[in-house]
Order: sequence, then structure tokens, then C-alpha cells
Amino acid sequence: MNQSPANSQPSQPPDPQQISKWARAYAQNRSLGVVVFMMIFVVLYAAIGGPSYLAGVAYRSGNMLLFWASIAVLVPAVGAIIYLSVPAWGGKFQRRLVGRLYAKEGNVAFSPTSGRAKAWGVVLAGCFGVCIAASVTLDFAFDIPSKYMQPISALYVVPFLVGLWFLMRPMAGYAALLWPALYAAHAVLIVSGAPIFFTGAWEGLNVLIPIAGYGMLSGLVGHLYSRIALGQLKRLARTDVTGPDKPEQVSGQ
Amino acid sequence: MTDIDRIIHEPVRLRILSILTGVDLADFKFLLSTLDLSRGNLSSHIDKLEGAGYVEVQKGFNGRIPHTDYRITDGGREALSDYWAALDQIRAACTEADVTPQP
Repeated sequence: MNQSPANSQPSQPPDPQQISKWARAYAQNRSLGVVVFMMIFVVLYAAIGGPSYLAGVAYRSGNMLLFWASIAVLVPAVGAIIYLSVPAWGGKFQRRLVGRLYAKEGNVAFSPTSGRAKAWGVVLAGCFGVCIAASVTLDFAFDIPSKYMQPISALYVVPFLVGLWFLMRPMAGYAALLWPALYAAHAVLIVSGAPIFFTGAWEGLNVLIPIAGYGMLSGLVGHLYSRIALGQLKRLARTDVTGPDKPEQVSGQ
Repeated sequence: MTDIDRIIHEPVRLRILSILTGVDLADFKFLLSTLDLSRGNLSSHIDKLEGAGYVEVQKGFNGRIPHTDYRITDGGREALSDYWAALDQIRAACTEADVTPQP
């Protein structure tokens, strides 16, 4: 058999298009930042849920000092949520976070979203904020049963997350869609009668736990996929690099 | 005979360009750890790609630490595409000529 390099097909890595594919998959799924981001969201939601409840109790009992103290915590927490929900601002924060979390592996990224996408992001975040305010108002006004809190929130959380994913493409991979999908499935299960909701003193967690829990879960799934992608990328990118056609021998131009 | 771009034909540079086509930018550290090269080796390959206009280099600082990002240029994408087309032509020519070694 004549297998000399001169007679064989041109030297090339094992399917370089796979290198591009895995590089992209790795870059899109460095989502450990989402998990940390969610932890921050949990704290902020707690800073909204707790004071909202207290403000209601204080207002009804006439304790205006507690009422205004609750509002004083509530307002900056809502501001922070809105700030982090705007892709232009929250995205920048998240990119910095990701940079720190994956510092050992170096940085690989996609360009920040376009000006048009940023404008849509502001609109989306504004709508999201209005929906949160509307649902809190509805809850106060009509005393909606706690089991329906999550399904009602799914009406605006799911479109918001899907919209955010569209605006953040190609930075976010498909694993990120797991989040709204699981949140929607949770809502459907509750409406179908599944007893997966909190009651009594814990009813405030009906939205917080699914939104944060599924967010963290999708972030972890993405992160695990990024480990697979990085492994595949390294395997492909290192094959034959030190073989017979190593750089010093061929690179002379 | 179809001309092959010798800048891209070198395996490490082909891999660098392949990585950069999958993403918008990658930094020196990422390329170094992914390709498992020495710093000097990677630098010399990047210099050649930059010299050919295939890669754009963006130097900056992360705080006080120097930081370098690389991005494939439109010319680099075109050259890579032309490279694959040229290889396909060669493969097709070899198939037509039936260059399978005879027993």
C-alpha cells in the first residue's frame, strides 16, 4: 500500500467544520453565569416578595412605618430586577460574570446584540415590569388562589424568556430554551391538577422556586453541554498538530 | 491545477480559522489552551494569519492585565471558503483520474 503523504489526500484535520460547530456550541453554552445570575434573582425576588407581603399587611393594619419601610426595600429591588432584565445591561453584567467564571479557559464570545435588539430589549423589559406590577395588583385586588400564581405568571414569563432568547442569539444556545419550556410545562401541570404548588405561609414561593429552579437547571444543563463541547473541540483541534506536518516544517512562506 | 492557499493549508492555522468561524471572537488564552500549543508557536501562526489579513487582532486591557482578542475577517472567511472549494476540486479531479493505487 502506498500511503505516503505526497500521494494521499491533502493533509487536513478530521472534519474542521466540526471544529467550528463545537467551538460555537461551547461558546453558546458557557452558562454557569446563568446559575449565579439566578441566585442573584432569587435574592431580588425575595426582596420583592417579602416586602410586598409585609406592605399589604402593614397597610391593612395601618402600620405606615412598616409600610414605607417595605416600599423602601421593594423599589430598589424592582429597579435592580428591571436593570438586570434589560439585555443591554443585564447582558453586560452576565458577560463579565461569565468571563470570571471561565477565566481559566479563556474568553470566547459573540458580539453584543445590535442596537435594534437592544431597543427591543428595553421594550421587552418594560413590558415584563408592567406585567409583574399588573399581576401583583391583580393578586391584591382579587385575592387569586395561590395555586394559580405560577400559571398566571407563565403567561408573561414564558414569552419574556423566549423573547430574551431571540434577542440574545447567537449568544444563547438552545439549552436556554429549556427554561421557558419547563416553566410552561410546570404551569400546564398545575392547571391540570398536579399538586405541585405551595400553600399557606409558603405560597410566595410558587413563582420564585420554579423560575429560579428551572433557570438554574437549564444553566447547569448548558454548562454540562459546554464541557462536552470543549472536550470534543480539544480532541479535534489537537489531532495531528504535532504530526509529520508540524508548523515549523510547513509554515515557511 | 487549483491553487491551494498555503497560509490556510497549514494544519494549525486551519484549526485557528475553523475555531474563529464558529464564534465572533476568541482570546489568546482560549486558543492556547484549546490547541495545546506553546505561546511562541501560537503567536507566529497568528502573525501569519494577521499578515495575510485573515485575522483581526484587538489588543486591550482587563483591568491592568493585557488582553488580546482575535476575530476572523471577511477576507479570512472568504479565503477559507475558497480553500475548501479548491480542496473539493482536487478531490473531484482525483476521483475522475481514478488515482487508486493498482495492485
